Amino acid sequence: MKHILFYFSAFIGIIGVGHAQDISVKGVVMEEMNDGSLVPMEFVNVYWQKSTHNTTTDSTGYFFIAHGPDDGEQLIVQFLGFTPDTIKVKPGQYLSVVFKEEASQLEEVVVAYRKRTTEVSFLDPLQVQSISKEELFKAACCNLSESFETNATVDVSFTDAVTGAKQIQMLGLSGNYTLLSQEQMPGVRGIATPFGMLYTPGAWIESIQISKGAGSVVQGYESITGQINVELKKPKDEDKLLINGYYNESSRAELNFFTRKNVSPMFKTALMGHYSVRPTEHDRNDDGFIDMPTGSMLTLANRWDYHNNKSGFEGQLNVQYIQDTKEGGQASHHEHTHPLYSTKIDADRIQVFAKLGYVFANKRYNSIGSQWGFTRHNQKAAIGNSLYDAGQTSLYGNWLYQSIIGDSRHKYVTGFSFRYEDYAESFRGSIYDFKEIIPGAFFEYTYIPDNRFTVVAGLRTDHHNLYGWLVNPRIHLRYAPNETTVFRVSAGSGMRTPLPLAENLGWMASSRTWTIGEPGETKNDYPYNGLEMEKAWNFGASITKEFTIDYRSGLIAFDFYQTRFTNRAIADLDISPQQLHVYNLNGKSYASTFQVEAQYEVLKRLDLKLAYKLQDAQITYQNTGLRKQIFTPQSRFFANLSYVSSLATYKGHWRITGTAHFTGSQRIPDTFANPVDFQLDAESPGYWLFNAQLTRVFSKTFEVYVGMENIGNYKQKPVIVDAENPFGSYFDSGLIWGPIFGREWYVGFRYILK
Amino acid sequence: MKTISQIFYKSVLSFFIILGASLTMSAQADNQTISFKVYGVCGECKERIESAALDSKGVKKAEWDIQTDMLVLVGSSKMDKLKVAKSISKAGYNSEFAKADKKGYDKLPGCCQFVEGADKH
Repeated sequence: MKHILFYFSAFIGIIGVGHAQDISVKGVVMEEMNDGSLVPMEFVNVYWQKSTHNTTTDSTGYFFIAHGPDDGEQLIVQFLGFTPDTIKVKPGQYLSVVFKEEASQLEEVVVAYRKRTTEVSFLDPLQVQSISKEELFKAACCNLSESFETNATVDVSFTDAVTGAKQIQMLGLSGNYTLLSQEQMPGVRGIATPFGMLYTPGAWIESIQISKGAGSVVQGYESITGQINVELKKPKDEDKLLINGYYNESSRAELNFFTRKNVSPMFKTALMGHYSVRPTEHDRNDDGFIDMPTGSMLTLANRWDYHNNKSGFEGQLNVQYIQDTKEGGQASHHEHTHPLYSTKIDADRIQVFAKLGYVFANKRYNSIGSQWGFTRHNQKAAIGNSLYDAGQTSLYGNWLYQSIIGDSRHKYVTGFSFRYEDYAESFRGSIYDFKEIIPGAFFEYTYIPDNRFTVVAGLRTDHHNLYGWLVNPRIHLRYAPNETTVFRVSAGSGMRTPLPLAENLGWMASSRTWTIGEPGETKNDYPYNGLEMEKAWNFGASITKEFTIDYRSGLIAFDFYQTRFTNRAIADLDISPQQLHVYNLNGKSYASTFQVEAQYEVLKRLDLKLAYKLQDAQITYQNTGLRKQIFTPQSRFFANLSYVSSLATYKGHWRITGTAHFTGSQRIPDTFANPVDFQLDAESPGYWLFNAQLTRVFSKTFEVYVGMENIGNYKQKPVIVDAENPFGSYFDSGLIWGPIFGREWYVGFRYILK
Repeated sequence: MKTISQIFYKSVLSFFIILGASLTMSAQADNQTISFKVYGVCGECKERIESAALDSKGVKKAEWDIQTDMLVLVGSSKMDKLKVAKSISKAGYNSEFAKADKKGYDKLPGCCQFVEGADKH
């Protein structure tokens, strides 16, 4: 079951950098069960005693290790809980290693190595980046959206001042096209899109996996540009108690906790909490509007884990409740000639996930799993004179079966899924209600002839009650000519139902009249006055090369991805500054990105990360034809330098990190039809942002951090068009391309009990 | 577009300058290997011995073997085995060259607080 549940979480192979040679040792590692049968063992560490060049076994128990001149003859086969086996081997030999569980002896084997905080998976056929907890500790990280501050792949938009909405971009496109999942279950989506990134507290996150390009068909048809999977802290975690507190210059205060308990050897539970509050209004740019909404958020989660080694059953239950209140708009102390323009957005959400799995005795590769999810989301928003009420009920279920064809080089996952969505929205007096009922089936085949080559081919077919049959094929290829180089190619299609209100909520704080679809002249029964499903193909290729220079490791990666839409719901703000029209794409729309990223430990304990990204996103607009997509920087540059004063992390030490981001110019929607005073430039200027953080670790249990964001105090100017007359016809507070609040310090602490 | 390509070339160039510089440094590096015995008993000891060794000046790679108690170090000419032994002593371990520091030893987790000659576990 574990294989299925975490099938697409990044598996980080600890691949030592060996001298690629033809002389090699191959073999298979098996475990002898109590009934005498042999079962392949996955993730077994195999290394040369002399040089420590290492590899791990794949899910079939197979391993392949090159033999260099400095490797010696002693090969060690090591797995947690088993006595390591040392074997004298000759190159070219085929080994068969059998482990047997000794009831009384459970040995703790620690493999000491310095892990990079952002690892790029070597064995995964998908291009997956894994961000560890340690990486998250490098930034303030109040919530999920801020977790990407030290990552170059995911870009986070700036919170707009009036509504507080915050979204991400990946591969030059809005986060709507990225599948957000929480432990491989559907995460924040639908109505929760504008604020959902804020609902996962940073302190709860164990790790994040970012996979670029078409995702796996097992996860549904929605991942177009990729998938971001968040793993939260678990009841089986090492930490018994975590308390985290945070306070910043904008008077935001935050308290997080995690605690776990073993109820019985088979049942484990964890309780998590988060409360944050920003009580004070700030108006630094003196435009009469507060720079960020005030408000509070409370969220609580309870998790249960069931694991029975004897029967092979595994299960999980997670319940999370969220309550969020935001108030923005004009500062109450400001002198106004009219009633205050204010915003109030209240949301509450409950989500329940359950997973159940069964691993067949003596056949670890054979398992059945089922996952269930229920979400209810309510949101009430009053933005100036506009009222937007939204509710969503979701039900999700899937059944997975994993097995092999013939031998374990041919694996497959197949199953059924079911989704039910009930949306009810009303905006400025118009009502938009619809239901989605989507049964589907999928099949994914994986072929792993050896450690060098992997093919994953998947197909899923769903039947949508409104849009009919949906067919999505996807393919991933991986080729590693040697132990340090990987080529990957992927292609696939994805689809999603557009939600033009929730996705564009930030633009509700404007004088624009909204036209959704083609009211009155719809040719179909689709929701939102005839908006079709968004459909796109994604193609990608990447090269990752790992290297070690003078015992310090690094990597360099190049990738290119292109997303081509066959249909898209375009939110057009260019028709006039007083209008917003969402309509079906008629013509071309695409987004291409090229990224190069390098990481290296430049000096002992000093890590450098550099990344450069070139993006080109174009949309065919109704009136103006093919044009640049708004608010999409053409280039981005990123540099991060982190230093840790000691590798002995069990005792007191210092950590220091600094990040520089360059955001290239972005197209701003046309405002030339406005009076001169209310016109904006056609493009925003490019700008640099600098962040730094210092952490003092006093002991394994206590650490304190201080940091500063936007050290250069860069601010977007102006933030709001015609801020003096929020009820006039030129007002617009949704055109955000840069930071609003400016420089901001923060302090925090972590108390961890193991 | 011109500015963008300029930035791009600059960043690629600076990356290769850094890479080149590190390569040059490593070419100059004349690494030596030394080894001596450090007495530990378990996996937790391995982590502590190796990290204490790596924190010492000049050490680039440290590996301790639980079976033979042998610590193998690779490092630059600045690496000094007595200094490494001192750092390991502070971490609470006996070695060929230094006795365990009492304070460090008292801070060790239970599994590492061996009486000399205790069984490996």
